[in-house]
Amino acid sequence: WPEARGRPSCSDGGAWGRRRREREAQEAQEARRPRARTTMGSRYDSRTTVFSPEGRLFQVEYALLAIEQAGACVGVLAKDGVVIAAEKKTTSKLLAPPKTSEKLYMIDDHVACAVAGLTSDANVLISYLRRVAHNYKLQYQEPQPLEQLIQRVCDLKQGYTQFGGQRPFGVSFLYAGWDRHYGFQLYQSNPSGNYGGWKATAIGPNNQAASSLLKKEYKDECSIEEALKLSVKVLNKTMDSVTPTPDNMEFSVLRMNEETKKLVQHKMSNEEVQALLDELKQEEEEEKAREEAKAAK
Amino acid sequence: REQQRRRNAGEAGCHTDGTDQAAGRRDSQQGAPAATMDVVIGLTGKDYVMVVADMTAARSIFTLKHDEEKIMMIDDRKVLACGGEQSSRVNFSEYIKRNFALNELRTGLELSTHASAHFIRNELAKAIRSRGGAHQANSLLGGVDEDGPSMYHLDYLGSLEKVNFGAQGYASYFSLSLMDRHWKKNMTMEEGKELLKLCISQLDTRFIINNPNFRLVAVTAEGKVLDEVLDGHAST
Repeated sequence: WPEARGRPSCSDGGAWGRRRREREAQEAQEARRPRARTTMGSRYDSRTTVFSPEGRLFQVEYALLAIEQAGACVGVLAKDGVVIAAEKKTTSKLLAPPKTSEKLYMIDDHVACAVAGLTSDANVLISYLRRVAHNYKLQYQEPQPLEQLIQRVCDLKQGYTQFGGQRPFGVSFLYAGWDRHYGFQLYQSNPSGNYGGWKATAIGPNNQAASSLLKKEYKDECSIEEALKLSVKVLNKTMDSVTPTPDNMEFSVLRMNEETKKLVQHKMSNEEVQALLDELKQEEEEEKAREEAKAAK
Repeated sequence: REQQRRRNAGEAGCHTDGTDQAAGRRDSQQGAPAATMDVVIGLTGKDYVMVVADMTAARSIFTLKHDEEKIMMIDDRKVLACGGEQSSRVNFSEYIKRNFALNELRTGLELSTHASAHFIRNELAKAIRSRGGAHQANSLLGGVDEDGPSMYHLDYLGSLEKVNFGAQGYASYFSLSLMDRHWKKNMTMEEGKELLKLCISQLDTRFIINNPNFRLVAVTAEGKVLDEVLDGHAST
């Protein structure tokens, strides 16, 4: 150690010693400053790498709260395909219409995903997902099994909750994909790095309400058309706006083309979405008429 | 050392580099690409793949052993038969086998033969521009998966071809024409074995290297079903 060797220039412990002293001084100052009581844990939320006494990671939970401000997404698994739907939030009329979607992305021919949360964070993760999927394809010359891809990105997300001191990604994903091992699959992942396979799920604002509605109405082995109708209905319920139009929702369907036996990712056009909305409206009116008739009796 | 490195930097990869740290891969070769004296022959049949390899390990004028294993089961349903410099061959096959085992543990899934062939090709291709040089191992990969039986011919530089039947090294000069003549689609296990025995007897007749033993391995969708030692001198 410098002291032992008697070198005067490093007698205070050098750079490490200086940093340690600075940190101690800052912590002493923080302890002295009167902290306002916040609703969530105040002393354990400034760093991602510490648990609270109750065993919570506050930064991860705050990231989940950030996602509540974004547009909702719904995913439904059908017998022969997967449907993912997203709410397009128009923050300003002055914004130029986007050339590519802000919510639905293609990762590879066999994987698509929907995003809810901070767009900038999402872009980084989408880049990563695409890189991983295509690197796998380069090495093995076949599409990457879906769960392996998701595990890779979730391992990355988990890293930000354990070390490095950087905040987690404020994005949740819905992944729709197909592989030859398990067929069509739907997955969800969130900032904690946890992921799960789902038959039907929702992310973003009002996802609890959406999930309970999905639980009630989802039928196993439903067709793609039924899945589309269900996702329209649920997305409608979770959106803030009163009148749903094709301008504020978008749908992507992943299915296998029967003749060519190839996977097709189809982003529905405005006309197709309008047709769906019309159908939904008609069904709702029929339902209302039936209820009124029953009540009249 | 630096001067020698700079001198060698401009030369083609086959020259020996006396100061090479990983001399094992390049030194013994003296420009010869992956020793060609190992006999490795294989074919695909109706629902199986079958490979045969010699069992001789030699050094200069001596035969060291007659029971060397040159065929490795890298997976329950995949077999890799390698020819080449013994150290590289063993090292490479074991490296591939361990990678497949790790992959299966990590993913819970068995790789398809097509994907495994490309993985192996990638490893071979990565090695040629690496510090130690190419893996001195020419291989024949055979496997049975959902798409049926398939065989891939890989050389030490990373060339990959899907084949119905194949051979590595000098053995190819003696057996490919025989298999061109006699191989047909959907051969039974017995027919396949007879064809490989024919190739072996041709080697016994005309090939200068004496191989008293050959190992024959056949793999179906259930796994390895045949593993026997054939007599190299039983001319039909």
